[in-house]
Amino acid sequence: MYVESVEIRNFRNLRQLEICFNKRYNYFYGKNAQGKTNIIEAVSYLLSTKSHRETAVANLIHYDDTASVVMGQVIRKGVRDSVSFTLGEDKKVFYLNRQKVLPSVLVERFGVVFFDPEDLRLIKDGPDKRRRYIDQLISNIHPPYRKAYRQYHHLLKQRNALLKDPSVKEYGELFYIFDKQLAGLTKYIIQKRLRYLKEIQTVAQKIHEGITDEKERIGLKYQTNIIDEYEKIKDIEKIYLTLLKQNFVYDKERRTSLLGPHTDDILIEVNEKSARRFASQGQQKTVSISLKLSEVELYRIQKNVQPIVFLDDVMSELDEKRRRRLLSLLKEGQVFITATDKIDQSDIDKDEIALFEVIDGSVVQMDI
Amino acid sequence: MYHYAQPLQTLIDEFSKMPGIGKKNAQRLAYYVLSLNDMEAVALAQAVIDVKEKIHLCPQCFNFTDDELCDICRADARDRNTLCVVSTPRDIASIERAREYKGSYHVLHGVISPMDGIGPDALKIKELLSRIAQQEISEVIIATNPNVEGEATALYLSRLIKPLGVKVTRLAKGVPVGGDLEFADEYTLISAIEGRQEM
Repeated sequence: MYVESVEIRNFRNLRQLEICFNKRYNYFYGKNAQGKTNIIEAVSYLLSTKSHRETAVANLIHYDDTASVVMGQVIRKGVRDSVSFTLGEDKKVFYLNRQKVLPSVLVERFGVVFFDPEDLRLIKDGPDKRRRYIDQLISNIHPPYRKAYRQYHHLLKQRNALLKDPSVKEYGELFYIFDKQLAGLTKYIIQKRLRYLKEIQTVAQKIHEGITDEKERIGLKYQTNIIDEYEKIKDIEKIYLTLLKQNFVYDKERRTSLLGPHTDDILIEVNEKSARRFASQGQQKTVSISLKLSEVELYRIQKNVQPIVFLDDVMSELDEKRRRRLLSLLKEGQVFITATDKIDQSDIDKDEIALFEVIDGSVVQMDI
Repeated sequence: MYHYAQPLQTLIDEFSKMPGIGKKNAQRLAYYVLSLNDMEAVALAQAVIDVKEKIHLCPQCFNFTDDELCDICRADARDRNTLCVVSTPRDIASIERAREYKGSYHVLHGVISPMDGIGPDALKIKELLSRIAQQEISEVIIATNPNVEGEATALYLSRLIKPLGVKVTRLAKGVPVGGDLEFADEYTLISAIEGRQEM
């Protein structure tokens, strides 16, 4: 799968652009604030219907204009799709082959793995980043998960509203009717997370062995306060319900729900030791890369199609050795890269890379 | 910028407050009203006044009615031992369209939603319980929507009513008739499998 070309109008600082891409590497470089990220954001938005930067639709439109259009030609399993979206005041509409479609249709059809510098801090940062990693990965491969996940958070909002209500002083029926539903979804979410964590572990181990010359072993352990042994997963609904009742006083005091998949974490280990506590900065980055590349590999295995990979400003965070490793590990599929410096492309076949310099919202293709 | 004459602007503003009506639709409607002859326009205005003056809640089931009791509560042919609990009067219209259900209704006028400050006391639940206490009710069918709030409300009601010795049922969830299994989401399929029936 690859994007053949794209036409961008009024997207962020990009007035009007037409770009033909290479099937493999597309490298955008230039000074800061020229629009490099905006270009790959437009392309990834077209395929995944969302931005890696959380933002209102209005912020995506050029400040001098009221509407934005992006059109692209995508080749997927030999078939050409023409995809586009239009953005106007608070409204976004997606089209697939000139037919209006729901965003989910595009998400299902095209696979995107977006990699930004924050992903390199997967190990160092808080548990929310690791939950986001696993939740995004599962939603990408298995779309019903997204629905369950959203419903879970909707229930949580209702529950937290109850906790904030000063007239509700005891754990009563009102909690039960929401907690019962929460328990069902908790089982579903944790089961899925455990299952995919296992799959990631297998894939990540292979990739990581390749990066570290078989010196390091990666371990992924799911951490939840609800159960201590995973054999108990079949009883998790009952256990969780009891726990929510027991923990009510603390929840009430903090006016928020403290237990559940939304506070769980993933313990990442290198050679059986916590990577967060014992691995060096460089090691942590390497593990993060392995995990992110597993996302690409897992998508390919499960969906039987190579996802398109976006590396936004990741290169500058890595040393020369890791940069080369990362590129060599992306052996297949289309890759979009942004960076401030030109690339040393001596490792890459000339036919397999297109270089673009980005200056003030316009793009010049450079010779290699 | 162009300004509408004030009365026209007021009418546009009123229309645009309505659900599903945007600025442009509100303009169209306002121009349409302006194009009506006097008699038609007065009839429209009178209809708005009448609906507010004459429509009230049926004291028994809380559906909208202009009579002492609503049509369904008055009808002799209706089974008074079965109650179908819905969240809005609109849901009655939907179920009636199927022409299958012959029992009575009870409208809650909402669902439990702490986020919106709606608790059980804001709904017609007390009224439902006293109806069950006073009338011979053999079954309560809960027909709230199958979403978070609808499910929570259904669970709440069932836990209140069941101890009274009344049978409580919930609308089945499953694959839509005439639909394709391929397009049913995993959730619907799970509940369809759970709620399967012997043939």
